[in-house]
Amino acid sequence: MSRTKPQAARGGTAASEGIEIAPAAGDWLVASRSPVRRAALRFFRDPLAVTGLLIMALIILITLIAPRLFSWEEIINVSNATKLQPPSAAYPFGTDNLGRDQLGRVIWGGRESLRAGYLVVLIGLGGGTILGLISGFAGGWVDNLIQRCVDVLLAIPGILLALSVVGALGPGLVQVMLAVGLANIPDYTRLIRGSVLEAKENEYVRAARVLGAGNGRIMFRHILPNVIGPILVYATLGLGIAIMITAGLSYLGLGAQPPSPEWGAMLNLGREFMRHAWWMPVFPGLAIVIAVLSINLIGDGLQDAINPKLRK
Amino acid sequence: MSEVTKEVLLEVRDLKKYFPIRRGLFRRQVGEIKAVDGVSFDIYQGETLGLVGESGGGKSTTGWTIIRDLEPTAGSVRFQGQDLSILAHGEMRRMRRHIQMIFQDPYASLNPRMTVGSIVSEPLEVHKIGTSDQRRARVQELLEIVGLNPGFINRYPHEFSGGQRQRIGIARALATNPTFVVADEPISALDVSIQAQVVNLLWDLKHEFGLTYLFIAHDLSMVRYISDRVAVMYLGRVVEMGSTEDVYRSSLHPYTQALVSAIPVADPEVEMTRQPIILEGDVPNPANPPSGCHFHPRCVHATEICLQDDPEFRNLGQDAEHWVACHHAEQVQGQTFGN
Repeated sequence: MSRTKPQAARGGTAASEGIEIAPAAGDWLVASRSPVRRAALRFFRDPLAVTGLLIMALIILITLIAPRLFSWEEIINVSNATKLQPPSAAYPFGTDNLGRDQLGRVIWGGRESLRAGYLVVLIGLGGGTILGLISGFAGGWVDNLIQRCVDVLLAIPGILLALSVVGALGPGLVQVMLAVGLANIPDYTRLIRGSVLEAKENEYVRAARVLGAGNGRIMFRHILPNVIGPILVYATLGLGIAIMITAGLSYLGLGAQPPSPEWGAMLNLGREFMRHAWWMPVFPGLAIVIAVLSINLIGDGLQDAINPKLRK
Repeated sequence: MSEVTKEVLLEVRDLKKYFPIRRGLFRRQVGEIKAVDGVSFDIYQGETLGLVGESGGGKSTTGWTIIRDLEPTAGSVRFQGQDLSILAHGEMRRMRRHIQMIFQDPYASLNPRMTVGSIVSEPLEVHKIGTSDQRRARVQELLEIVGLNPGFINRYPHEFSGGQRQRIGIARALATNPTFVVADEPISALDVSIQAQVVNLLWDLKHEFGLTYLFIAHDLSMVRYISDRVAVMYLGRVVEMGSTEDVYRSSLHPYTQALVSAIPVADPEVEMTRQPIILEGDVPNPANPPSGCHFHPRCVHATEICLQDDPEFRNLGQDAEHWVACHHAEQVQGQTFGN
């Protein structure tokens, strides 16, 4: 491609032409740091965030290999001989009132609790993202319709909404996940709609429209990537809350049903024996605290990494 | 300039864009802002039409309405004989490969999450041009054309300076080989030293690819440099239009004269004696424009008729067309400042 050099007569700018053109040729095809990669680098420089991530990774690893450590039969097996034993070498977390090994139950319970938490967030985030994107992008009556539905859902306290869903579908962990997930959708919808309203005014959205891009492309390639960062932070923090709420509903007896172990349900059971066997509520309780704490550390780290200017 | 034929590429007729003003609980319309109020002009194949005027004069709105990023309130825009303002959305989208735009703000107009490669190849993807290998090759070619290293393809916009970003925006606009490009103040966000580079680039590209530009700007010296013809807008209307030389050297409209007289001259002796016409007051509120000639409250030549009658847009040119909307254009003409 031969470029015509501007004639000298044209404003005498020929001398400055080329100043901006590219550094050395050695730069060829260097993949550079994307905004995501820069955020990741900041994240991994934050010791608290990395600690949270390590703890979470450890928890996930342990829950994944739970079936190799304890069989299902082992943890639901009732035995009078081993009932209510304090922590010892044989039973590091003690045993419960039915003689079941608490360590095994806490580990298996993590499977239930974490899965519930992730699913709740996934339902809320997925539903909220789609509704929020449509609502914010379309505007007009579509926006109005979606927002009024969200208003209705927001007017009902989340726990009540969850209770009524469980009331309608009957108790069980799946029902609780659905209920809490649904109760989460309005929050995410609002959050995403707000960011979309802001993002769609960006000039690059106009640019995409002018060059002929369709609505789907604009929503998913231009708007979503630019709003998803803060939403993911919120979702991470929401994961901790989701784990607590599902545990809370299980504690109320609406979630996981016996003999299935779940942290909230175990806590509920342990409550009755707290005075004689402190280890029964303490270990599932600690598990909840550690899981939620590590998730919050990750969330805070993400927040700082995505938006370094907000840092104190 | 030589390559301009007399073939009309874009024909704008009585284009209007009114923005409603809504108030109160029921969002009742209480008025409207006539951002573009009956604009007509032709753009010939291969020429650059400069569109100038003060901020708030409706220049950018005109540009956006022409490419139908804003729906026109009334009027027609014919591109190669086809009325864009009545095209269905899908048809308009297909049409967009021939009509592209260069944006004012090189920082806001590039998606920060996309690489230079995906930004520049987006028009190709959208219009399903070429395979992904061909698109990649085309992107590298385009980057070279606009004076950037083709190796920048995997980089992100934040790594570039304003001038480089504007080049990326230009590469994107050229990707589909458009015939017509609306340049909406493409240089006003750039440093002065970079402005000249970008204008030169636009000028080169026009000649290399036979482009036609609508060049929107408020920097009159840059417009003079790049435009074949110039249209001057005031409060949503074109008040004067003609060849660049005519408009600058023998302005017919008092508003144009004031604008032209404000251009600094790069000659200290002339600059010493230069007497700019200082306009009194501000641009009136476009929601409630003055009666008759919109310019009369600020015009030194205004008489009774200017308060009452809308001046007709008439052609006073001898060899070339030179249109003006002023009752007193003939008297005004002699008083032009020579620069």
